[in-house]
Amino acid sequence: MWWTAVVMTSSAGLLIIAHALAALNTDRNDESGKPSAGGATARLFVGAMLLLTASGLVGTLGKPQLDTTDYSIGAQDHGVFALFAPVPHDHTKPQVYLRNQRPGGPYLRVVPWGGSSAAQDLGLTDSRRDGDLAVEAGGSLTLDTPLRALRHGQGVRNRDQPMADFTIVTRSVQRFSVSLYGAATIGDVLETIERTSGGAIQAGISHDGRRVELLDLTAKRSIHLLGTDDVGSDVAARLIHATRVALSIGFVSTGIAVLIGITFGAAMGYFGGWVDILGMRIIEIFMAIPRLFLLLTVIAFIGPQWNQYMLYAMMAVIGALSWMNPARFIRAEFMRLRDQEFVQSARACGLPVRSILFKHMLPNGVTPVLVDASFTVAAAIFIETGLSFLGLGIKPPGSSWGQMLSGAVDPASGVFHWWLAILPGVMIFLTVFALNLIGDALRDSIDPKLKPDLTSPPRRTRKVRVERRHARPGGRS
Amino acid sequence: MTTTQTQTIIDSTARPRPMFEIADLAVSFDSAGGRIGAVDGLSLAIHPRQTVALVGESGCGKSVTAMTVLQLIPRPPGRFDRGSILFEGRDLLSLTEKQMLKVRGGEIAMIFQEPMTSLNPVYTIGDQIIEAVLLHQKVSQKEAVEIAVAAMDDVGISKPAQRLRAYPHQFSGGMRQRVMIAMALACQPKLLLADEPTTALDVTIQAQILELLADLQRDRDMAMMLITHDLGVVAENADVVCMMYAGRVVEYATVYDLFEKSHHPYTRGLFKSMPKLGEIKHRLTTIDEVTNDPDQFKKLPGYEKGIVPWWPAMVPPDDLAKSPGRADSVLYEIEPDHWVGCWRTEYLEHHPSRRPDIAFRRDDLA
Ligand SMILES: Nc1ncnc2c1ncn2[C@@H]1O[C@H](COP(=O)(O)OP(=O)(O)OP(=O)(O)O)[C@@H](O)[C@H]1O
Ligand SMILES: [Mg+2]
Repeated sequence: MWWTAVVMTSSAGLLIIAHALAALNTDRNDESGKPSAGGATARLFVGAMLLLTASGLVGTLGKPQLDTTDYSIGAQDHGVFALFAPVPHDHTKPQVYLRNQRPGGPYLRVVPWGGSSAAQDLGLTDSRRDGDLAVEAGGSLTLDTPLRALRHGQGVRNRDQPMADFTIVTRSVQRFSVSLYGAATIGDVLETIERTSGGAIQAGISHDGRRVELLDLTAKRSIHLLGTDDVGSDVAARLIHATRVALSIGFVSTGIAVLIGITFGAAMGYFGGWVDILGMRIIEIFMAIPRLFLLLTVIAFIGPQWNQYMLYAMMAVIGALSWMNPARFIRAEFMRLRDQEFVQSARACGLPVRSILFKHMLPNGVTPVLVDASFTVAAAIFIETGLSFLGLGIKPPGSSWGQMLSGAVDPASGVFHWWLAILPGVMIFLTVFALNLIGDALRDSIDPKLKPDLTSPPRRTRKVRVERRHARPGGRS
Repeated sequence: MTTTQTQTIIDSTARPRPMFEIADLAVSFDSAGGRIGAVDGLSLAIHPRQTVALVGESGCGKSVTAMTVLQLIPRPPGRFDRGSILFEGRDLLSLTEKQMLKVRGGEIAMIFQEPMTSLNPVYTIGDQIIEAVLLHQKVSQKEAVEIAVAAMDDVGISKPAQRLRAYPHQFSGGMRQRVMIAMALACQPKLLLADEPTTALDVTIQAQILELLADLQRDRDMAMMLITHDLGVVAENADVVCMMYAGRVVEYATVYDLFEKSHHPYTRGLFKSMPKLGEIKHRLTTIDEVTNDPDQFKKLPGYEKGIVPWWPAMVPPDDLAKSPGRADSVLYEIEPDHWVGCWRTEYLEHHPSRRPDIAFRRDDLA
């Protein structure tokens, strides 16, 4: 369910923030006076990381607001999808949002920008082959079957019944209602839209004659910090959206992997014997499964109509095939810890197995997993990036760093736009680097030796000592 | 059968019943070279307020015995082959893991050999004591904190309320050992298994801690099984001594009897190997010198009948009783309240003595 995903992501975010804060506190309370190694830079990058995380999470925490958010037009009540997936973000094209007011009515989809796979998703390829016209808003609103029917004069059942009712929402928050009747032609559609908008929207047919383009004349000019790409989408906005995709894939799949791995490894390490033997065989079986190929297979099975679920499939597959390392680390650690006196003494105190395993042994043995987890997150991000680069992972309108990288070369002209390649690369580097720093911070926050001494309040001791020195002579005499 | 039954009936009327009794315990471990018996035919009894010392060289099975009491032995490779451990009428070996959870820490507490590593490094001292208290006593968090503070105070840690928030690494070894004791005692156990509680500490702290344990024992009627290989500690603190060798009891007597008139050659060798105050010797006798001398084994009264001290390095007597599934040694009451581990000869097989059980407490003499 989408809300579990929201809870998971946000709690993961909160956890990270909490631990990072704890780590920062440690730095501050360090009594020795030595500046802890790299404290400031660590803080800086942890902060940067938190920013990235936050920018990725903002959209997940609430539904995108149609009227006010710059790049989130059109991501309507998709439920699940509003979380991670297609939020359009084109800045250049005047933004117009068309909403079908009759859910049971004719087929109408909003395509944020005109990528080919998006078109496929909507059945546009069919209409292209037929030479049919499709309608796009902001460069890409598609009316599929009904328009085709309109053109061929079919589908006319009742001329007085509107075939479709639309609300047009412009950037300036104007709303217009448009009704299309069965008898309408393309020309009628254009005219109807222009008329009802009272001149706020200019409608026309694109130069290749395949699309209806709508221009929002009331829209403000946008600032593009990092410029725009070939279809006019804002690169900065797409980078941020790609961060959200990458981080959610990285964290969720690693979360799955660590959860499975810890449970499995803990049981194996603590109970040993046949549990261990069986567990190791299962691990070996899973290690033999090539992650990339299984992913490709899963992707191949996900039809275009399930494209929105691609992200979840990737998370699940990567997570289900990455738990072996955490499991082996935890197993080894638990084997070491099992015979340690404090575990024996916890048992002798009558603590139940659950508490011994997860309260007493886990914090002592989780360090290698934490260190490894930051690499697992990075690896998951790399897998997603690679697949998307090849056009197999996140498809337009969703954005991903890999996809942006592949977009750096213009397929038509073959021109290489270097900045489009460098920006996603920098993002990948920064993210992985920040993840490693967070892994370090997490580990430090567990180590009690790095915690401040709570038993002796530092500053007061000196004062008390001075007072005592004064008091002593009198007391002695 | 009937004789032993009547005997126990007589015993139960004449003598106080022990609160804790191990009878013919045998524990073995699976290893690459087959089964290794770690403990074989161990018997002992502990009365309230009494300290029974389990003494013996390293590896003779002292820790295994203590761990078996709480079912802390990993099984497999470990296995309980024989015997029973009666605690207030219940056989601990037959309890399920769930029932054991109540016994562990609550009724029988254990202090482990290593004070430096017996505390969880990632939790504060307070967290660990309070967790144990909350587990076994029906008290609120606030009361648990008070109990923990009181326990820390009892074991002589100054500023206990503040120290609760300290981590183990901020404590010295002696303090950690005290914390371990505080933790074990916080739940007011009836029996304390102290596995070399002072081995890692210097003599001063050692004396302090043992004194502390004795005080607490007096205050709370707590019985204690004190595991050590330090004969000085035994002489100072034990009421009854159970001398072990290679998993068996070789001698079982009150501390005075054992030190004054030991019967088993191993025990004698042990005492001879220790320097004595006021005695000038060119060279101390080794244990081997005593145990390798066959004459030493002939000194027991009734040697001719077949009462021969058990010793693994010795050729067993000819008339060994055939006893499959039982130890080849048996504890024989050579004189009142003094047992010696002997070969299980035909004679002893037919003249069994009662199980070791001495109610003696040295404090009662005073
Ligand atoms: N888990 C185990 N697996 C196999 N053998 C074991 C295990 N635990 C103990 N043993 C064996 O049991 C025997 C008795 O060990 P135990 O720990 O009781 O010695 P100890 O008398 O406490 O010695 P020390 O004075 O050094 O503590 C040893 O020979 C040891 O090898
Ligand atoms: Mg031991």
